[in-house]
Amino acid sequence: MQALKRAIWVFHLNTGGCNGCDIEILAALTPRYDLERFGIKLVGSPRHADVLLITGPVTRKMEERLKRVYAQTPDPKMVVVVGNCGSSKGVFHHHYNVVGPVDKFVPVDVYVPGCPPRPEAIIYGVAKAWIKLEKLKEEKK
Amino acid sequence: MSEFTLPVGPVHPAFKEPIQFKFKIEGEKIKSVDIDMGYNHRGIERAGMKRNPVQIIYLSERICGICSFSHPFSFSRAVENAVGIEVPERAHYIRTIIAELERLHSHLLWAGVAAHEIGFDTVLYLVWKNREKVMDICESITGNRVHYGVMMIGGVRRDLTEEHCQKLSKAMEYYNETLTAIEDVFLNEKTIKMRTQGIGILSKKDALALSAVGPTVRASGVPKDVRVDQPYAAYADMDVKPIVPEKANGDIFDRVWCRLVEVRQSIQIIDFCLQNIPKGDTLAEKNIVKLLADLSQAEGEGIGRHEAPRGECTHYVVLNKQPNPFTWKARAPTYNNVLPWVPMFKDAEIADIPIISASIDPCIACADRVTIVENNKTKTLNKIDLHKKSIEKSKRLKKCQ
Amino acid sequence: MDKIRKTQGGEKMKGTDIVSSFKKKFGKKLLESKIEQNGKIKYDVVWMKIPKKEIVPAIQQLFTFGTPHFAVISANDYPDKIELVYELSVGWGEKAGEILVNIKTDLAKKDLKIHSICELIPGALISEKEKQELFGVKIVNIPDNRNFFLPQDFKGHPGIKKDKRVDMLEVE
Repeated sequence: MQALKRAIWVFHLNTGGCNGCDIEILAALTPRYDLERFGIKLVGSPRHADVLLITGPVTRKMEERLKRVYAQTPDPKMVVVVGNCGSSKGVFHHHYNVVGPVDKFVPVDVYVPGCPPRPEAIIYGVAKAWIKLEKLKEEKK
Repeated sequence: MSEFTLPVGPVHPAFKEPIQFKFKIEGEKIKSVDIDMGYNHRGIERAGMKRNPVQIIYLSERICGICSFSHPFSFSRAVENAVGIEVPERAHYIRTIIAELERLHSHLLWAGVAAHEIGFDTVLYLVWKNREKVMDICESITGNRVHYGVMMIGGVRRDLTEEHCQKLSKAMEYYNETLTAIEDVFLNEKTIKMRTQGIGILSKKDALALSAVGPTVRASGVPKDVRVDQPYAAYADMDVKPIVPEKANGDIFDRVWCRLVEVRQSIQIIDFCLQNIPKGDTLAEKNIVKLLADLSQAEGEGIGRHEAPRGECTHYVVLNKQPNPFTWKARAPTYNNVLPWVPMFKDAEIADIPIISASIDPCIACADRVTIVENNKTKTLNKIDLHKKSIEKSKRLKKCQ
Repeated sequence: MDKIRKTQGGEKMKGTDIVSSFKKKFGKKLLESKIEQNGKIKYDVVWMKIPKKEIVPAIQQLFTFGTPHFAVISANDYPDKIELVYELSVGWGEKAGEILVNIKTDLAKKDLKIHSICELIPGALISEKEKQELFGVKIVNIPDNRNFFLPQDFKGHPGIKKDKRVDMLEVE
């Protein structure tokens, strides 16, 4: 992680999941795994975020909110989908109220599979997104 | 003073699931609240109709990630009651141990969340760091930190080895020591007392009328606990008492007290189980193919209940000689605890919204965009501001000490 | 009322006490009744069936055994009728003293109406809303008629097994 100039801030969005991935994301922030040693912080508004962490299969009521949160996040941004449900609906295929994996509505950069993925895997996914973000910024210059 | 409506939700930046509240405010006091759920509705019961009972166990775990053992437990009990399957004693004890480990991790998780809502982030990190030991034990026994996958109709899929039992004993000693520090913070700290005593009150009358469950109802003085009222598994062999405060005011402080004392009780229950666990089988029917064939010829209806960390979890199953169950109804504990939010929010302040909504330990959470319309001027608060209001109140109270 | 949990002789309540009090009150209107015993420590589970007009008096009769705990209303979807199961329990608060009481009632699909029990048990509101939106049952006098779990403009009843509108949504 040599070329990293600024710590990235993440915003977490739950589109109707079971909370398994959400508590593993929070566990990644606590002292055992300590995402914060990289300067990664959980922010309260998508307008301050660089990376969106999205969990859950998208339910009908949350589809609109997902698109809105994506639009509110300023460029350049990365989208990291955590868990099987967001990547491919997981166990919830062919449910009437689940409208589809996250990449049906917003472009996704990193998928972290698992049900739920371990905190180490989530940190790895966020690090990959970080590196991709830095490369994007370099190319734009 | 004129009245205005405050919509709060459903996107929450930090915790758990989406839910929308609409508060009617007069000044800084809340007069009434309207709750809109359904952001998390995935239609699991309809999907259950197309699966056989063993697949439903896998699906029911994913109803909730925090009480992920309670739903398969209730479902298995419902099927076993419907068909009349006798579960071996050793399986009963293993189920009890894992259920109590889940209670430990869930209450510690909640304690951290509650501290965060008041503004004590240090306590959040302290408690979650201590919680990691339970997650390690769960991982070594069951193979995963969340979504254990050990439940099976007629018993459990994995056995406890000598090594597991020794690890468990050491972990329970560790928790007996560290819990004293956590209890000291929550029960003796002046600011936490000021933020939680006398706030979010649920009277005994309301708790009975609304049929609340879990620590929420026990804090209001009603001794409902499935482990006591209808003992099952290893609870039937021991004397479990419902944790009810002596002078129950039904406020947030009582709920905090109930949960912390329940953690101590869980440690005692796990110690008892480790000392008395009998030898034997862990499954009534080891051949899953035969089990499924038997179930597809079975007929009957059954109800299975379990005291999850949040309250009573009930499942109802009807089998009618088909591979898939005829009916499956899963009722999570939070559904009975949503209506009690309405009397709890009455006459509370806006700054108390985060801690009151967290106090029932919902498996659904609240807020982001909050728009206040006052005298035709619009003011928008997002969750950071709501959370800041809560922290400012804590600081104000600390100065007044 | 909460104190009346034991029978005259001071013994623990049994399922037979509940069934006999219902037989006394409803006579022939009590269509079916059975008592099962489940669990390691055998506890009683009472199943009773009454016509749908008698649901409010039946719940009221249960109050004579103490404030009942309301769990949920489940529904069984048969081809020509929907069978509602009101799951309640009495006798909580004492060790091994709780008795599950399940009151069933049939609603013919041509006339899916039943009276609300929210006046007696306000906590039943969410279950009744759920039956309205998932099964198409019309609860008369329900305090709040809006959908709870489904979007307000959702068409179809996902609780019904053969519902074409919902089946189409599942394939998406």
